[in-house]
Amino acid sequence: MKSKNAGGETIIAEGVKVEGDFTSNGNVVIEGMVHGNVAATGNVVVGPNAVIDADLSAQNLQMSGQIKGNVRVEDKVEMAASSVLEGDLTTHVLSVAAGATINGKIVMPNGTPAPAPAEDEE
Amino acid sequence: MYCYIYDAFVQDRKYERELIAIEHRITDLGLQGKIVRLALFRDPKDQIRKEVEAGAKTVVVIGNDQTVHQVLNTVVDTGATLAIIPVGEPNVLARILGIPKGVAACDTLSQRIIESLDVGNINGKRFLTGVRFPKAVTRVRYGKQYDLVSNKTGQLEILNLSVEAPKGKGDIANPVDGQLQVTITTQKRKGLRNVPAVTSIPFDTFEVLYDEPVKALADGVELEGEKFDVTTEQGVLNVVVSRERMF
Repeated sequence: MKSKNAGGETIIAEGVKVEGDFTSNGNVVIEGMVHGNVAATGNVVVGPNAVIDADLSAQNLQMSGQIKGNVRVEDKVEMAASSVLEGDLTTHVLSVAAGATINGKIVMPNGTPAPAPAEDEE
Repeated sequence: MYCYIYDAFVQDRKYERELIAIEHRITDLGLQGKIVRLALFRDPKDQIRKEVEAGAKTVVVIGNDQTVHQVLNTVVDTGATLAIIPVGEPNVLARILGIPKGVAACDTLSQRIIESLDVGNINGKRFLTGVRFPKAVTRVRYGKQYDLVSNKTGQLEILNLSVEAPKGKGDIANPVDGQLQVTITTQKRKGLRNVPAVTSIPFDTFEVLYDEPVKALADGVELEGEKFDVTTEQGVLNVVVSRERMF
């Protein structure tokens, strides 16, 4: 038995493919395939078996699958070890687990600059 | 003023006592009205219209889910309020609306808690609970934006409330949000087993396309085709519910 999601969450499960530009006014969970751009006003979860073949934009991104396209995230990107990103990434906060693959440019506008290394007292 | 629609099957002897009790309770509560008895091969549309034009504000169905489906179009078109006194089975809709079976439903009717529910429309036919399609490669087209395409294990359901008897509130779609919930259940491998994977998206207007004709069940009534146009009519059905409703 299936039910409507109380929070209006959209789920693309395994065995389902999206063809075209997918937009959502809420949170999205992608476990299947998407051949087209993904734009969500909420958070996006890209599951371990998910394949996205285009650009993606979201508020936050939790990623453990594959994206072949540019990613633009307003707040935070969390990449699990199984993540593969073939494209540029723009975000404010980035967390990458050991084993994740990024082949592209990472841009972090307004990011907090890393503190300068302490100089030797000598 | 009330108009009571008695389904043909409730005139069977096994429902005689229950009907007498219902009629007594209706009289006690001062809810009397005109009675329309459905019969096989007789369309109740004209009779209901006539009663609503004569002043009936509430159409009370005495029967089951199929009885409600028979009168749904006419009730929506006339703008009357729908009420149910559940007799016989299946009565899934009454359960979702929190209406008790038989004579106890008369008291719910007298309390007159009314909700305005969305109604779905598939190829020009209205439905209240939902539509279930058979397993097949399914394409759901959302305008010119995108298509959702399932593999051959995909089973599509369009939910306004629920297509089968719900176990709890979590199994009920929201019938007052102006949208229908589209779910496609596919199978995925988990270890050595196949387990269901559910795709779930809310839509208001969309198309369902198949490569060859399929038979779908809308409110339990069969319809056949390979292309289905689906729309949502927001809040067009006023229906009597109780505080125990499941949404």
